[in-house]
Amino acid sequence: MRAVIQLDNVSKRYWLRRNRSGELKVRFLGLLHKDRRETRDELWALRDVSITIGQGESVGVIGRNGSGKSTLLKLVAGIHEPTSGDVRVARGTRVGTLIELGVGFHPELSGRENVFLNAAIHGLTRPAIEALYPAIVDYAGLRDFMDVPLKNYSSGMQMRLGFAVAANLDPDILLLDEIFAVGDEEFQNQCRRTLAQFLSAGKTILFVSHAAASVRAVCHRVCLLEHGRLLYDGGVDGGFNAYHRLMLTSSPAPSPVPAVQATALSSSAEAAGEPWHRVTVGGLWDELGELQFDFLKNQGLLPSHYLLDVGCGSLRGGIHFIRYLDPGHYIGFDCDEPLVRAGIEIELARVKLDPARATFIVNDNFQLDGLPPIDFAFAQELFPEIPLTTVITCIAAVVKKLAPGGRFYVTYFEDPNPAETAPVVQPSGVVTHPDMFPYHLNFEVLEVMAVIARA
Amino acid sequence: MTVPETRSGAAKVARDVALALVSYAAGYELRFPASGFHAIHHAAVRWLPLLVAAQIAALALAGRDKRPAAARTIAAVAIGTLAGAAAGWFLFGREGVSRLALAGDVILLCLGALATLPSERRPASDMISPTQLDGGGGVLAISTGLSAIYRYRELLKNLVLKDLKLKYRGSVFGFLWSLLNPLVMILVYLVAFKYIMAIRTEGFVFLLLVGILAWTFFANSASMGAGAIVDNSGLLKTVYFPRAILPIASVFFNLAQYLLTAAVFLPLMLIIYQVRPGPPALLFPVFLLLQLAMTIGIALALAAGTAFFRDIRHLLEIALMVMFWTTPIVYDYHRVPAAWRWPILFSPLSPFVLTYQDIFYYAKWPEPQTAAVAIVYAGVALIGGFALFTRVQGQFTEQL
Repeated sequence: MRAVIQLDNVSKRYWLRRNRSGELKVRFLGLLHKDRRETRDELWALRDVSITIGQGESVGVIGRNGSGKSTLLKLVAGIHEPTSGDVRVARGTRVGTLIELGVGFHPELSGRENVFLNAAIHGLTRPAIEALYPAIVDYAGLRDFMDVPLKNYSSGMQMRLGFAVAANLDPDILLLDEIFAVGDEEFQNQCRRTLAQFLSAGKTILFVSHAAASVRAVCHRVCLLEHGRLLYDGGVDGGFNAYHRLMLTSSPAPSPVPAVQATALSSSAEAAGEPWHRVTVGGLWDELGELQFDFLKNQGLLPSHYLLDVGCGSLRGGIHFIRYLDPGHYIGFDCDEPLVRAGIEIELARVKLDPARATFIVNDNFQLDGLPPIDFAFAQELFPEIPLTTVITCIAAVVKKLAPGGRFYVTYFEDPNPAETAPVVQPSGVVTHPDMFPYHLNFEVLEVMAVIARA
Repeated sequence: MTVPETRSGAAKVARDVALALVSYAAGYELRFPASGFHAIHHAAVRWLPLLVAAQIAALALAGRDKRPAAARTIAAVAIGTLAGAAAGWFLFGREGVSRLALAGDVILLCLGALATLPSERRPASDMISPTQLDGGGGVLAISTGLSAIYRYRELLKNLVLKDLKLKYRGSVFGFLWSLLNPLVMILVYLVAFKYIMAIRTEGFVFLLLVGILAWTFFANSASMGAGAIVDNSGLLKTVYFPRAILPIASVFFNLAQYLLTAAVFLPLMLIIYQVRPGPPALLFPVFLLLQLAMTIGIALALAAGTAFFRDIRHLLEIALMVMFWTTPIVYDYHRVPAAWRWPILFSPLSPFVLTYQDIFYYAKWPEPQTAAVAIVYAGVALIGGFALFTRVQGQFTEQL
């Protein structure tokens, strides 16, 4: 894919000036009196950020206030220049900057004159504007108002007009800065529809926002900035998980549970956002696996039920079930034999459980023969690791084995793009997986899969 | 939205070289010791190309150096001045190495060095800086600036029209009010000079009018242009477009008013004084263009300066006040004693006013020296203004 935007080790420093000597007089006085002199502090808005964006990608930039998102956008737009590093765009592309709708609008001019002015600010020539003018008027729905001075428009009408011009600009790269923050729902829907059209036309979008819903609807890739550093560059869900983790670790009060967690859980989920490691101190769940254990118990898991743990891995989660269920009622399935073996030898030994209490099946293609009807089946953390076709095979195989009334709990993902499951090598050399935590497939797809499986 | 540039590299370089040659050649008219407009060595004109070539070569050689920009500029200026002084001494003896000539040299070379963008900013690759999307391949700041402005000409037109509409919309007599200003000024000066001080000048009102109109254009452009960047900080922070468009729009706005006012008053004067416009009047567009170039250059320099130091606007007011009196608008140049003529050189508007007076009232061709000085001022102001503006425009958004 051809790269259209490239940032190489970009840093941007602003000077915070005190006693700003915007005047020669003050500068002169500063020579005489030390305390009148201008002092300045550094503010690094961006530090060593490197991102490459290819044509047709839609990238969301998220982060807290002051993390450098708008600065990043303005660097790509050419409004600021980097202190160090390179910002480059592909030669010959048209870059459309939408940091503010209706930039240049003057209240005394009529709607028509403002449209021409605004389009000219964005670099269009007169013939181009005249050709687009009818489309703009239609899009805004303000045909009768075009000769009325802008000061007589309502704020909603002004925004519609501004967005109408922006929507018809047809740039190759679109830079958006939180323009969804204002406006009613209809306006936001219109924005989203227009962006979807841009995307399907193969344009590149760089979108800065706080609103998760907008970013999810538009973007396929997310960059998380914090204090000017790029913390995450990958899939949307992983990005938002990292974002929530960030908010949790740095804010004194725990944030509410992300909606993706099961609402049946009765306790607050501090640990839901905790980083993934063996034993976490603090929070309600001390160990990995306790979360799904509690969850399944809430769903009615009894020791007499049969449980199929799809992708049991090294049994970190399985040990709770093995301990709880009757002997022989826990069936663990995986395709990685050494891992299961390690789990049996290390994990079960650690908590002094007898391996004979559990049954293990290891094979590559979800052959689940010879099993009793399963009451509860669940797949945790498995699906990010495998391609979509394998997911379908898995669901098919498991669903066939379910007892009447049995349930298969899956964690599911939103964008069924096989590439999303591939591990990402970060610039620092660390390998991350886009999704280590719950993510959503939409229910229709799951249902279809289940129907196919039953057939 | 940035509008990408489409021109081959060779054409760009050729264009830049042509511009550089023209500006340097015009600049060297002033290189020789001058007292007023009448003392330029005519013989030296034959040797001008050699001098110009020597200095441009020196600049180019110094420009190839890989050292940092400041050291390179100083080296270029030093080498160029020495080369020029040597050539001048060789050609004209001691006379060619006067202090005035050296001072002129240094100024011109500094401008030339400032005006050439460092060549490492022009990567041949596919990926370029977003501010270069409008065309960053030129060697001279002025040529890239001008081509970017041409591409955004629709914006320029819209800004000028917007200002004009805003000024005249909603007012009852509209345009007539802007005719009142020069009219009143003329009346006041007429009474003061002709009747109170009893200075006899033939065709005083005509000469006065020509001068005042040209002056108003210049002074208003300078004042409005100086504020163009700081007053439009909102625009600058939200979208990218060639920043130079803002001061240039103010200049064109004032140009439009100048032309409209002149279109009313000039025919009036011609009728009242029964002057027949002769062929010299055809030079008006040429000198208008030169005055426009000079004003644009000065507006750009002032806009850049005001972005960093806000009280330049106040200094400008005072400077304009002084400049009004050093320009032969309300008095006759030929009456000024020769020893006192040198301050008139310092007003960049003087050659233009004199030329307009010549071509319209006296209906004679302007003197070559006056025209030469006009060309020099226009070239130096335009190139220098663009150079300065382009050099610092990256810092505007941080200063505002």
